[in-house]
Amino acid sequence: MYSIDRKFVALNVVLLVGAIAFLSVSESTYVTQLIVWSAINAVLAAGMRFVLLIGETNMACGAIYGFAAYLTAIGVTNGFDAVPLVVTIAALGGGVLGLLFGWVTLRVKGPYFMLIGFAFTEVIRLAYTRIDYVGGNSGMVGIYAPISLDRWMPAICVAVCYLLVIGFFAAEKSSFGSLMHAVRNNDKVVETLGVSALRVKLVCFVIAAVAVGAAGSIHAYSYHVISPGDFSFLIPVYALAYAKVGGERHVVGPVIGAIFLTVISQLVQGSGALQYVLFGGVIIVSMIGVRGGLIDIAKWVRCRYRIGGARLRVLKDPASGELG
Amino acid sequence: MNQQKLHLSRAPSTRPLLQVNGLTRRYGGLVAVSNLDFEIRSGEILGLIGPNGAGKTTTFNLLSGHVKPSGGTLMFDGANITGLAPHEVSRRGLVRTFQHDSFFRDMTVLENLVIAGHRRWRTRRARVDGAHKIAARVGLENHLEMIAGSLPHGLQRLLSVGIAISTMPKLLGLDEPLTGLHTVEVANVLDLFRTLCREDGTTILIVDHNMKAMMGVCDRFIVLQYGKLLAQGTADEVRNNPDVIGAYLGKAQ
Repeated sequence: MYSIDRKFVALNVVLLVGAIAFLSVSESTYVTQLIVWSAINAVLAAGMRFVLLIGETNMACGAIYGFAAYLTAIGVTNGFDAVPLVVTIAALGGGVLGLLFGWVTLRVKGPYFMLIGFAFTEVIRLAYTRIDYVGGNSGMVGIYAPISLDRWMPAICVAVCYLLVIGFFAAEKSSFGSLMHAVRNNDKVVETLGVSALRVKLVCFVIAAVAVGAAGSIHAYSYHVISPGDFSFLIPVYALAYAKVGGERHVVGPVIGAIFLTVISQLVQGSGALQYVLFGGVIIVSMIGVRGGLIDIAKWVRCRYRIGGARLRVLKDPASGELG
Repeated sequence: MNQQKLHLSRAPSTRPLLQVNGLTRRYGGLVAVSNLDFEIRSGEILGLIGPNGAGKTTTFNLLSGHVKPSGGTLMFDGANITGLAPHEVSRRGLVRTFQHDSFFRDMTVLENLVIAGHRRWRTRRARVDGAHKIAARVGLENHLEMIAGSLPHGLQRLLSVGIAISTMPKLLGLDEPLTGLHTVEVANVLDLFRTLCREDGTTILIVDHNMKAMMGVCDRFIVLQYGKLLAQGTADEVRNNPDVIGAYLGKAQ
């Protein structure tokens, strides 16, 4: 196992406690909602990046996200009040859908896999419009947490999202994460090591699906209303944009990208049809201006001012068994 | 390295490690490999040779599970491995390298070897220690922090072998390991193969076009032509076989 960096743990505990404290006392519903939406988008983006680690673009995440949101809506509207149980079941439901989809489709690669995922997201979205039980085109309403939890829901949602991103980080740094990088590099060689590349891809995909499923469940709780139009191909497209604009080098990149673009989308929202042009323009400028993503600005600042001894290093300490 | 001493260390046995019976692969109307029968004996270095298009690489892919046979059986170390997936074949001890990029290009040499030891060693520390030993074994101990894709070609070949032997194979298949190497690098790689075979007891199957080098290192040869077995035997036997001479140089009308 990799060693745990105490500064890293301390920083994350401070950030998590700070976010929970702020959300618990904040009187601004708009700011609170913005933080929750950013957190949900951060999980979507981190999930997208996680699958990018095996060299694939997961356009099926829209279907998984929506499926978990609908599971949550069905649960809540049928009287299930236990939020942790509902979120867990929705996340596992997303994982099962991811497992079934991945088992069939991860045998193909690159653009083929991406296009199948895209089609899957759209087919599942269209299926909701044909099923009366889930409200057809109108969707489902009344997805509320119990009143006793109402004040704490934003904090709970953000805490869950935070822990999911930390989970992605831990999985990436594990020996399984090394295998994922290896699969992206050369899956044929991974097979010669006695490891099934398909299984590595599948486990990676299911991990991402469980997290995206949990995010979908939180989406349902935070919006209270869902409809098929919420889960179109734009979900994975935005998730990819968050990951690319924020930077793929580190799991923090997609989080930064999600927060940045979520805030930008709110700022341009009052511009009518022009909002899509402005939003797209920001993405283009970001991609051209900082090719490694916004996270590279932080790296540049750290290297420029030598903060934390930041330097490019390939190997931290061979004797300690820790790869940098 | 002292070649004479190495040859005295361990002689090839007559026990078949791999038995190939009636191996066939068809692509539509084209028969790439036709009813092939041969065996690889434990502890030997076997050369698989033949002119371009003879079916060497297809045979190699059939043995490693990368291509499913249309017919025939593969018995490896007493077990039937016909039709198994590549990773299942590798788990049984038949491990191969590829002609191109048989390593993880974007990773350091150390990271390559750490991942290669994923199934052999359970902890990360053990994998790193093992990677250092393997690196020393193949002569890469001074290049651990280099990115594999930026290594000179000869060192990339050594890394490919290092990755393969990290899995402790019973049969190591090397697909054109000498291509693009200069004379000194060829000598070093051949020394490594001899050491692996004679001292570690690893059986080796080599496919390569460098006939001079192959004649110097292989105990026995299988010669293919048009997907069929043309000849087999020692270096002298195949060198003097009129069919083999005809296959390489053409026959007088």
